[in-house]
Amino acid sequence: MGKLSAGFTMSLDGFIAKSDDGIRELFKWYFGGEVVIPVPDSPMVFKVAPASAVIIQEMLTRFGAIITGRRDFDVSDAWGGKSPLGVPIFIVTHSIPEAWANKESPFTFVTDGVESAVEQARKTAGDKDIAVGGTTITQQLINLGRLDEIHIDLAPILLGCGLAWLAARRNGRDARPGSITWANPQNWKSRG
Amino acid sequence: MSLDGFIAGPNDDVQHLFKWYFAGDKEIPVQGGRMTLKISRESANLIEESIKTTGAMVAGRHMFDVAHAWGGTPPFAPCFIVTHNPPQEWVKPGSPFTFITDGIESAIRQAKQAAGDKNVAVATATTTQQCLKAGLLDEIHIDLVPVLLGSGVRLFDYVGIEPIELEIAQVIPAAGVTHLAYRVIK
Repeated sequence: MGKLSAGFTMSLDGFIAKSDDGIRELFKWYFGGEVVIPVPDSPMVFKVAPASAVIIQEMLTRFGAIITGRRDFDVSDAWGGKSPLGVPIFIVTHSIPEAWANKESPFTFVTDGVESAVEQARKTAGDKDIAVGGTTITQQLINLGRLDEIHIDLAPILLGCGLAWLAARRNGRDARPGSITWANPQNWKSRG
Repeated sequence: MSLDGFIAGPNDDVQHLFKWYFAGDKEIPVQGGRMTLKISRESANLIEESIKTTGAMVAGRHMFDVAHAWGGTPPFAPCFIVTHNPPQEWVKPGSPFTFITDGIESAIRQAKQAAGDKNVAVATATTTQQCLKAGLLDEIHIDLVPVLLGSGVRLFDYVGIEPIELEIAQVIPAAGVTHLAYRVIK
């Protein structure tokens, strides 16, 4: 069975977007390197450092489905009408956006909760891993004990305010400390 | 710091954050020998380096109280404590503590003078935030610990709403912790 894997580019002070949802400062690392990686189904290219390229290449191939939240869907303008990574995407929401409710829609809207989204995503993903996006979806999966991995791309910046990853925990709704284990720390490269 | 940005849990609890201090086999006596850390070789190198290169320390009153004045042996001496209200029992000749009542800039100025060519360590959340806002900080060293605490004392609260750019200086993985160092771009 594939892993449920959440991933974010995060500032050192824990934000994954500015207050206006801007991500320019955070995403500099996607465009500051020498290795060119075409973004699937898009005219855009990433230009990243060699170490980042390895991680992005893996990200582009390992996932069989995506689960994310409504805010992510809205902020990204429905990713231009296509699922990112070109795999089935499940959006957890209370209300299905009419414009995308038709049969040909590349999006599946899940209105009966995050566990249902996991069940549906697993069916499509088979043995492949499932990417998890959205702060509240990630939070819910952590609280349910369902999340297998957290991938953080830690950007060297302090944003001061914005969209905090794990915002719900910060509000103390679930203050139970959760232990996590570094994956392959030997793969971390020292720079300086 | 925890992966979700806390340097202490509720009620200043640090048991989850400080596990790495006892996760290795290299012994380092601290606080005048009253406590012994057991850390990895990688962590030990960094701590030994910081002991050699640090000539003074600035901290806030809250930490001073929580740490019970480090039993009179602060991690780095001389130690400058920013406070509105100096604790009289430590205002005496030979005290390792100097209490600064006229603000963070004064504390940093006096600590730099005392440190000479060496560095000044800035500890505690409030003091770090004040230094960042005043543009006084040159480097940020984070020991990133693999735990989610959920609530507690956030290191980077109240640093303003303008982004502050950093430059990665060092990334060192070690047992139970990843040591990160950044330069503050001014």
